[in-house]
Amino acid sequence: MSMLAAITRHELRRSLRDRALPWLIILFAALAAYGAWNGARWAEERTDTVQIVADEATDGIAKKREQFAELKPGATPGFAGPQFTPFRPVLRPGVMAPLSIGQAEAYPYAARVAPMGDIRIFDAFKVDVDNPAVRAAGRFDLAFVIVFVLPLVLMAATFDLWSRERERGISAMVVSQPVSVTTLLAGKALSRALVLLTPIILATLAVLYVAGARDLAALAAVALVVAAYGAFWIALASLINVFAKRSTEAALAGGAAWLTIVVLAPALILATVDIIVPAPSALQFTSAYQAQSQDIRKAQRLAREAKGPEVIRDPAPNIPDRTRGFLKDRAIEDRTLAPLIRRHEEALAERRAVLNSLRLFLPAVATQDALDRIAGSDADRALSFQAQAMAFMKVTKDWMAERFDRDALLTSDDYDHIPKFEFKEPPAGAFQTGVLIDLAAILAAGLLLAAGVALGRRAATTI
Amino acid sequence: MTTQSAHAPSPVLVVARNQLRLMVRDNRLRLLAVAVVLLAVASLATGMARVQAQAVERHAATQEDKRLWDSLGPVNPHGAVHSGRSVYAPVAPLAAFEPGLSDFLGSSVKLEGHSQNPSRDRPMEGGSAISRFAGFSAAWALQVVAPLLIILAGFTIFSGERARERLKQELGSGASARVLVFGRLIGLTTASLTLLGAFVAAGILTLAIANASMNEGLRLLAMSIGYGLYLLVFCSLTIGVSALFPSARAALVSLLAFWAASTLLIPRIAPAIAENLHPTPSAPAFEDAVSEEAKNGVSGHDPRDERLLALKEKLLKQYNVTKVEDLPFNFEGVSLEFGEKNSSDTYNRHYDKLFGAYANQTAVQQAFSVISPNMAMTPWSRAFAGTDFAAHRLFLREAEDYRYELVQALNNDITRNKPTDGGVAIYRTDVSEIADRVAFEPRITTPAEAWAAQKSNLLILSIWAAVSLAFAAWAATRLERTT
Repeated sequence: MSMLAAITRHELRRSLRDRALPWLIILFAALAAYGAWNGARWAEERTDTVQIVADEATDGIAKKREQFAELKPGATPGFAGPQFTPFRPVLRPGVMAPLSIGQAEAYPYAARVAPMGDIRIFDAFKVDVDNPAVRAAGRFDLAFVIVFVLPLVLMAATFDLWSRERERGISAMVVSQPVSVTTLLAGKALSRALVLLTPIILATLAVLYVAGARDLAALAAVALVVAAYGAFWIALASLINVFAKRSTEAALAGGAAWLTIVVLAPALILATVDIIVPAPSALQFTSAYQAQSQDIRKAQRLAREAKGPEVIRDPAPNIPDRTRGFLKDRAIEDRTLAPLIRRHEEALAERRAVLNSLRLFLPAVATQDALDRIAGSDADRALSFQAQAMAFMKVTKDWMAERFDRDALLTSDDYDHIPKFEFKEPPAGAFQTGVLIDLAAILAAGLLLAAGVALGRRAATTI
Repeated sequence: MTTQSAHAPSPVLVVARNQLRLMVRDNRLRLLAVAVVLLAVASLATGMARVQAQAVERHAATQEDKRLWDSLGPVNPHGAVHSGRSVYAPVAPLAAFEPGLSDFLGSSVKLEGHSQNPSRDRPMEGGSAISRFAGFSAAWALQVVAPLLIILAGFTIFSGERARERLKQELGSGASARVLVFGRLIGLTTASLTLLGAFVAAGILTLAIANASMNEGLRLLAMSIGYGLYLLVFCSLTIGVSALFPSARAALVSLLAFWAASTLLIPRIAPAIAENLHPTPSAPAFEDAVSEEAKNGVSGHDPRDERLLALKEKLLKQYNVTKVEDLPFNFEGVSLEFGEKNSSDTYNRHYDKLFGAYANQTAVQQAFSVISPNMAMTPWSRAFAGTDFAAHRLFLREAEDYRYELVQALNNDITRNKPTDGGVAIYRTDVSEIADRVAFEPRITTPAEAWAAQKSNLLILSIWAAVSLAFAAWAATRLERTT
């Protein structure tokens, strides 16, 4: 152990004298700052957008209050039927949003809930009007800098960890000393990790703090993820140096490894999944949904017409029977369409489960996933919002049915007591199970590489 | 003797042939090139299957939409306007080669009265963390991986101790540095174009399988010319840098830095900067602005209701009557036609402004092609594949023209059918017959349209090629002096 400490100290002194390292760290910090600024700007815009949607409900209710104020004494406020109450459940960006935009643009962030609504409550927020070319390029956020750029910085700083000594003929002299190659490589890797990862982690946390992402537990989780991912790449550089005899070879191998791990493997695996477990067709689902819905509504319309003109009770109820009929019809439609929706959602969930499990074998994807989860821009949070919004719509339906039963229109004061949506964040916050699984996957991959270094140590001594 | 020298190959070609032979004998390079071609062919095959499935799916959805519309039966035409119809974007066969923006563009538009909906059903929806790593395609392999292969194949051609020793011998035996540089450049370029040829051959094969038209072949040819220039840039830069740097390590680091910046970083940073300089509104903000203008006019002081009232007064005066019921047509239809024109004009103004912002963003991105040839290559490739925004905008424009024509035909039917019973019964008619009079036949942009929009990018690529060739020539003169 003391030998390892001595080598690490010696290598630390050498690393600190390397004039290229500060520039690499400055490059990373500059890109990280730009990424965090981009992320913060995106979060700010998303917050404003969400507020516009939330204001639709507030403005709608304010308008109803104005109508109440203008209502003539004794007149029935037909506009105050519970079915006309606007609800806008929204998903606000999390406090760590500047870290990663993640999947936040691939899922709806709000819903236009009306008590008589259906699953199409999200439709308006599935479309966007920003430039698709900008989306297709991929967002330049801090997560991109960590997942894509950090490995390049680490590879540039560590690709000749041992190969340089071998190339210059110093390695023979070094291995002739009473020290194992494994300890030597471990000391070198440890020193580079300390010299590189300490300022990189500090820079990451600093830019996040400045960008407004100030949750301490989440910052700690980010530090852990960056440390684990960084350690994985330094372990990979060590493994490459066990086998590469020349620095050029090591650089080539490092570049190829980066291309494979960060770019090709995830893209190709995703392409394979697209063939084996394709996403259920949104077009087919929409067509089928429209067809069934239209058939049901047509049948209901014909049944209504067959009954003849509507008979209005005397005295007329506040909520017309025709509206109650619509509520019943909508309940029948919901029940009839439920199996179609369930089948589609199950197919989506099955594909997502496959995609999620793949991250266990892909450290870059596990890192992206962990950062998305910490930022609150992951698919699970978006899906949780959808589930909670749908559950909320059920609450509004029950609330409406109860008022229908009492034939109770709303009063101006009632709008203070209508159901309210509040998004429940996943328990455990930044250290949620998904993040812990990601961390375990990255660490396991790093340990596997370290084991490879130990097993291949003989190759490191050949000249 | 004279006859022999007349038939002797040029020294440049001899060097080129030797360079090619050396690269073919390099097992690592051969393996890498074959792996890339195989990956690209696999991606092309899966891309083709996907494109064909999309075409079948969209055709089926179009048929189903027609069936649903026709089965509405006798309904009020304006009720039908609210039921709406859906139209589906045409599928470009070359999307298998260059998916471009396909995953980020909606594949259908819901057409209904009073609003111009953005396209929906984007394949990028509903992903997972791994979805951020998507995008491998034959075009991407040519834009990103092929330049890397060129760098790996060529960075040691002149740099490094071994190469320098060999160079001294070659120069000593009478060869000029210029001949060596251009010979090796021809060798490296030939190998790169062979790689491109393999991609193009695979592309032609998939187009043939898909029974694509000659037009598609023309598009592929245009794309190939762009890629040829693009790869020539990387070949020239690699040879130039290799000749300039005595150390292989320095040459490799410089070339890899340029490759990473030009193919990975700038293509991400440029759009972000463009978006910051020319921001676009969010969908709800866009919708709010349109609603406000439709209601209160462009000036904000010209309410829709007052404009409609003025129209009513004008018609009453024109027909010399005092009540709308006495007009020879149904004023409700006129009112609907007026409303539709008002909202459509408003949407058109806002969409024009929005797409103007997109155009400004594109101009900013194109400015980055001064430091990254990829910024000129990508739009060129996407435009000829029919997977860029221009192709999508054409679909949106056609969809809107169709929507407006259909909605106004339905509204006009109400105008022409004045209620005879004092307006008690709801007017109903067979809307399928009205819809049959209006056809929606979407097309993808023609090669001529793509050329008109993209010729500046070809010019940029040509300038890049010329400058990088000049750089290689300059490096050759330096090489002669320093060796």
